[in-house]
Amino acid sequence: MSDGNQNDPIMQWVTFRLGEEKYGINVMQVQEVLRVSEIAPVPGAPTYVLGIINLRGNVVTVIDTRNRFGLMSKEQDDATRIVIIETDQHIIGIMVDSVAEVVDLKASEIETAPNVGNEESSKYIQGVTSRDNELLILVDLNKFLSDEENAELDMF
Amino acid sequence: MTNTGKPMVKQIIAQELALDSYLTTMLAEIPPTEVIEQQERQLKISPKLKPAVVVQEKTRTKNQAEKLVKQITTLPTPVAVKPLAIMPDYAQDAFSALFFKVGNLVLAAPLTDLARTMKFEAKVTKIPQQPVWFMGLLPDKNTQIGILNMAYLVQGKSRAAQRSYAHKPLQNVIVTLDGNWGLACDEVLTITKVQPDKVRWRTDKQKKPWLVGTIIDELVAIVDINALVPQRKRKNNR
Repeated sequence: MSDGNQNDPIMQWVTFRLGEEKYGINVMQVQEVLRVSEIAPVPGAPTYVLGIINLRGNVVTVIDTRNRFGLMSKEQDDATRIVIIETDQHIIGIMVDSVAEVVDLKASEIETAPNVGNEESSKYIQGVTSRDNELLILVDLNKFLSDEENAELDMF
Repeated sequence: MTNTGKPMVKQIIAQELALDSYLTTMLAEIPPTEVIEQQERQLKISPKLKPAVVVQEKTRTKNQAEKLVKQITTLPTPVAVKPLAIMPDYAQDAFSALFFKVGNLVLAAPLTDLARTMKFEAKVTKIPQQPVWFMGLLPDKNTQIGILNMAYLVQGKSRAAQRSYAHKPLQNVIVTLDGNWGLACDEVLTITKVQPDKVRWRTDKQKKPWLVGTIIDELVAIVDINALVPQRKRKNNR
């Protein structure tokens, strides 16, 4: 977290695109951003798991973020990236259409997004904020996967 | 002296049945194809079925028949529901209503429930994994309006899903009085005064609680915009 007014702290967010929407994740949880390399499929893996990659000797599971967010799948292209992130439980890769930038946001700029689905469906949406005439959807990576899904990842 | 009461009662009942039939057809979900096919199959084999009840005419005596006639003729007449008890507060007098269109369905909503209408001028941001009827967030001044697809809420999923919203998008938004929700519709038509006595107010709202009544002359359903926003979603702290 950056400094700023103690009552209104500033956080940095890495933004990425999926389809027509822009998302933000806490920069403190981003380890690195990779170009897409060979992803080895895992037999019996859930549909939201693309497979595993070897990251300097460590096996990292790559999540199909489009699938996780209920979006149509898309062919990978030059802009496709794997963002390596650290959650409370794992180090995982999330595949995104493109990585955009790092932005500073004051806590007061973040609004709660309405949840009209069931409790589980979008609990990882931390909030939204308006930026450059579009909405940025902020994702809470610690809630990105459910406990059950995290347990499943342990098996890879 | 002729009794004019009975034909009038018949006429009112006929009108109510016609209204029920009309609204049921317009607002009902389309049964899945499998159900229709199953019903057709049942119809084809139905001649083989035996009648469920066999009426034994011979066993009925004259006394029983007279008793039956007496029972039928002494059936209690339905008690008329006092209109004022079921009418919403805004309908104690003539009220203004906004008429709008969703698909080929014309609906009306009392102005007291609405903040304003607007066009889709900014981009609607989709939030992942929300129900199909939640279109996303529309920026408005310093806040976001949650946009709901009224076709899904009013016509049901089966009918609303038949339309391609990419090719024929909903064009207008009706914003609720609290400014939190926008209900997307095709066309905003007009604002007109509605006389409460020209409306058939619904008494039973167990199903479709958002359907308040029907303007009899125009056959236009009056909807409660706030009730269209499902309960749990309204409770959500925004």
